[in-house]
Amino acid sequence: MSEKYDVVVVGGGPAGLSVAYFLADKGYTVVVLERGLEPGSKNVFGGRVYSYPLDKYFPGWRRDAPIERWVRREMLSILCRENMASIGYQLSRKPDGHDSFTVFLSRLLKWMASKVEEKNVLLASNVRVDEMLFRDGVACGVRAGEDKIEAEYVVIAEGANTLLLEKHGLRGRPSPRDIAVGVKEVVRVGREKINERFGLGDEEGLAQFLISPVFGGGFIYTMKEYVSVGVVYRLSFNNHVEGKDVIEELRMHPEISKLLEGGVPVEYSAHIIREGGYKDLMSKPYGKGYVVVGDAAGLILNTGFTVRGVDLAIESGRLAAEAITKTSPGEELSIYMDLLRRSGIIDALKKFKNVPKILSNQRIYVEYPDLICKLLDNIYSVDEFPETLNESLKKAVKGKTSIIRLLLDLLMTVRSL
Amino acid sequence: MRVLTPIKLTVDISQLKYESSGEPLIDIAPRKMGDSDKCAIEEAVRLKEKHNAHTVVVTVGSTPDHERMVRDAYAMGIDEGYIIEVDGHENLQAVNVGEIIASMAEKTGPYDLIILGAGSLDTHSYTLGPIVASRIGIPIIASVDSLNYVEGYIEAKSVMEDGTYIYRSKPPLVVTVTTEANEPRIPTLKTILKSKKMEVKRLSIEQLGVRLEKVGLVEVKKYIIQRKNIVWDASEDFEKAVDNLVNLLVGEV
Amino acid sequence: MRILVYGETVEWLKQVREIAEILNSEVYGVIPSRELVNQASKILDKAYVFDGLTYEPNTYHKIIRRVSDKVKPDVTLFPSTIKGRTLAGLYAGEKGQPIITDVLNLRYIAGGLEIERLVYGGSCIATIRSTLPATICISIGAFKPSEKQVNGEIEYLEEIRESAVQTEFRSREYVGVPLERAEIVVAAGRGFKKKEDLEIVKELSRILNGAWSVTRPLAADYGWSDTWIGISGATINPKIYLAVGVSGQPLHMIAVRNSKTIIAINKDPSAPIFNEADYGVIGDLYQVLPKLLEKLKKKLG
Repeated sequence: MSEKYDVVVVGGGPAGLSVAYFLADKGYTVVVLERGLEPGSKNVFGGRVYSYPLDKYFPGWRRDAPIERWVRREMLSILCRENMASIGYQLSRKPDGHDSFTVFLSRLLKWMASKVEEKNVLLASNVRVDEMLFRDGVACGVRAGEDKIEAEYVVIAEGANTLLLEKHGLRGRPSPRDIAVGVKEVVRVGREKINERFGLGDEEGLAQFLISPVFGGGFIYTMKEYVSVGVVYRLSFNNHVEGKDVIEELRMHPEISKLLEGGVPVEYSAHIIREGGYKDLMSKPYGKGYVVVGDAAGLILNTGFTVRGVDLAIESGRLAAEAITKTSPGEELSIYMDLLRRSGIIDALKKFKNVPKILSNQRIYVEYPDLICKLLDNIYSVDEFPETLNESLKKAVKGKTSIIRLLLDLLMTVRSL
Repeated sequence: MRVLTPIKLTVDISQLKYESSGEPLIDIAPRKMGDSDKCAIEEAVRLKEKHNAHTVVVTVGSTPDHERMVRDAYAMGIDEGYIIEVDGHENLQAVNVGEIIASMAEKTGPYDLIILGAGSLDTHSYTLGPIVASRIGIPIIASVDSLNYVEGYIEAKSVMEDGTYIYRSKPPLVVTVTTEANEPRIPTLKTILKSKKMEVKRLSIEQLGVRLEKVGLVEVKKYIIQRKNIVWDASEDFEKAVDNLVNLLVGEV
Repeated sequence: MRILVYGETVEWLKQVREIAEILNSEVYGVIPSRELVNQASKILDKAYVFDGLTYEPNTYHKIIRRVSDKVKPDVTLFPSTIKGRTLAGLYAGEKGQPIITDVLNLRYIAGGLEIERLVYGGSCIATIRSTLPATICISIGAFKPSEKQVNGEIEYLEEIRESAVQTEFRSREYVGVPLERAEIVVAAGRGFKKKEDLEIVKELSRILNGAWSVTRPLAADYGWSDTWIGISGATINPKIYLAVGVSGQPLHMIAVRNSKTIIAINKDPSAPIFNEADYGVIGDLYQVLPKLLEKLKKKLG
């Protein structure tokens, strides 16, 4: 005996829940199968979500979603050995405009799951889907252990770890060059201390992007009572390091440890991130009876300073839902790709297509931050006779890289950002 | 035969974190069903499969985690589930929880067997089953490592520090089971989906006519054991590590 | 104030005498064996004794209840063993009293007791205030035994025979020093690969004039021993507890917490037991133990 639904969604992350939400709204019977103990338990992410898709599709969400803080301060910092160079940007309030907020993804997903369940979607956790089922080349359901589920449409929203797609040969294993590892620690610091140390009001949050010659890229997000600190390192270099050590190293940095002093680490997580960008996007994220949404399809926008996945996941979920409503069972869901193109998502990915290449350039993370640190150190060290900027630059560059190379990298970086 | 299994949402101690002052961060610790509660459900479901028992679970407290736990019980094969709505379920005294369960059992019963997990790791260790038994006024067979129903009798074995006790009695009975009793089944996709569609019944403590008395909790702190935490690595200096042990054991340190 | 205690061992009764001194109370005991009468009468103000009954909680409870009706205690004490907790639960349930287990300390305050108890698998202490009368399970070894002697009364109880639950008991034979009374206890954990390997642990405990035991999986799952240390088995409070190949699970550690010195041997440097030990050796027990035995033999002759 097998059960039959209009749609079966594999994965209860932002993309999967979003498809389920929009289809249930249109009267489809939907079942969502989640591998973790509950939606979001397999997700790891930094802490920031862009609000525009929620504004568009979940009216009134600002009242009851588990928002931690609204991001009002953006910072870009280079961690030198003991010091830190930062550029800060203060955002004024944009109450209904497009902005971003910090959140625990697991809580946001719990909230989304409750919205989805209100629409009578069946959400089954702790279920590992073993394979997609096909009949005459058309996806017609899934199998989990002994049990099968039949459906008119199958939505693959399995996230960055694309086991199911790989099993069916729809997607290759990503090369280590396209994979980064995100490790994150959540530290309980306390609301008052966070406000004081980061210069924030009660509802105001900080999003800080870190560049370090030691470990690469990292981030800091402030929650209400917690600070989320993380490092994203590529497997292609730094492959001798281990996640916990990297985080430890970050926490021990004098400038960072000041911010976290007295805090209690309450959560540690590590996860694969596909950073491949446009090149990693599935060329055909659909077929007869199935569509692929969110991270699984490669819908991650890496602008170099921010990595955006959750908003694209929600958006692609909505588009997949629309494609399903416009496609008869058994047909190719090619409308989905058209909708993705029309939405501007594909263009955005194209625009930033060189970012992953730049980020895999070791000079960006290692040599230049080091150089900037030396430069600033020379400028601000109080010697008997001050140096000119030019002298400082020359001294800093000495023996490291040529000025021409520096200029070339700079040019390439500017062009692709 | 009717079987009731009270289940408890407990703090997952393995994931408990502490403030630097030693205060545990109870509010953010994950909650889960106790391991021995799962074994209790498994015993109930086996009685359903072998002896056509009607199986019921009950839990005290009405958070979303409680509802999830009742559905997890459904996914394992339980027929009917109750949530007893009460505020501050984690501050309830064991004797209050026992009384609530006893009243619920009287209202929705009678039950031939009430099977509980012997001990939860957080607070009401090994006392809830006995409390329920004496509130209802039926005998208990406690902390059993195996349970059988043979020709109208419950037969159970309990391994204790001084030996093995073998109990035999006719229902009605309260039985508490340890995690040795069985290997709880893992729900399948089909049973999980079925569990989602089943009704979860709700009762308030007013409906049960229970009045709660409070015992005040002053504070909770991490148990700070003043241990020395001196560790020697035998791979560095084997002889010295062993010598250190010898000195400790013959009392020369 | 009046204390009623259920007591199976002299060590436990001496700890209760200490509590009675702290609470400035008279202490009455229900004693399940005639063998204890002589000593119990020197510790308790009055001992109610019965004999010849196999432990069966429902029957024992009836006896305790009957004594309680005479004594009308403010505080009823049980040891935090499985048997003690079961009897305490039946008692508190029937009386509708607060019940507090795993108690480490208590003192009298206006209107009741202030109590320190272990919670969350023994990782935390909670301080709570309870009204009286109350039922309390004391963590074994939390109080030092009092050597104070009294001239207590003895009353023999009529037996209660009728019980709904038939019980058959198969006891174990104790060899050597009983676990609860040993000053040095050596315990084997999952680091041991086979039953025969426990011989070295036995020899070690013999040389040290101590007792040996295992963790629950070795006894309950593998059947290598009849007894074990853990919340469901024996609770110990020796001078030295030597844990070999024991990882340090909470249910085990709660039963050894009152040991004076904890020493651990484990090859996994991240084993939780190292955080709860006074001394530790990171090393393979199959290399460390033979050498240890050899050196101890030399030293102790």
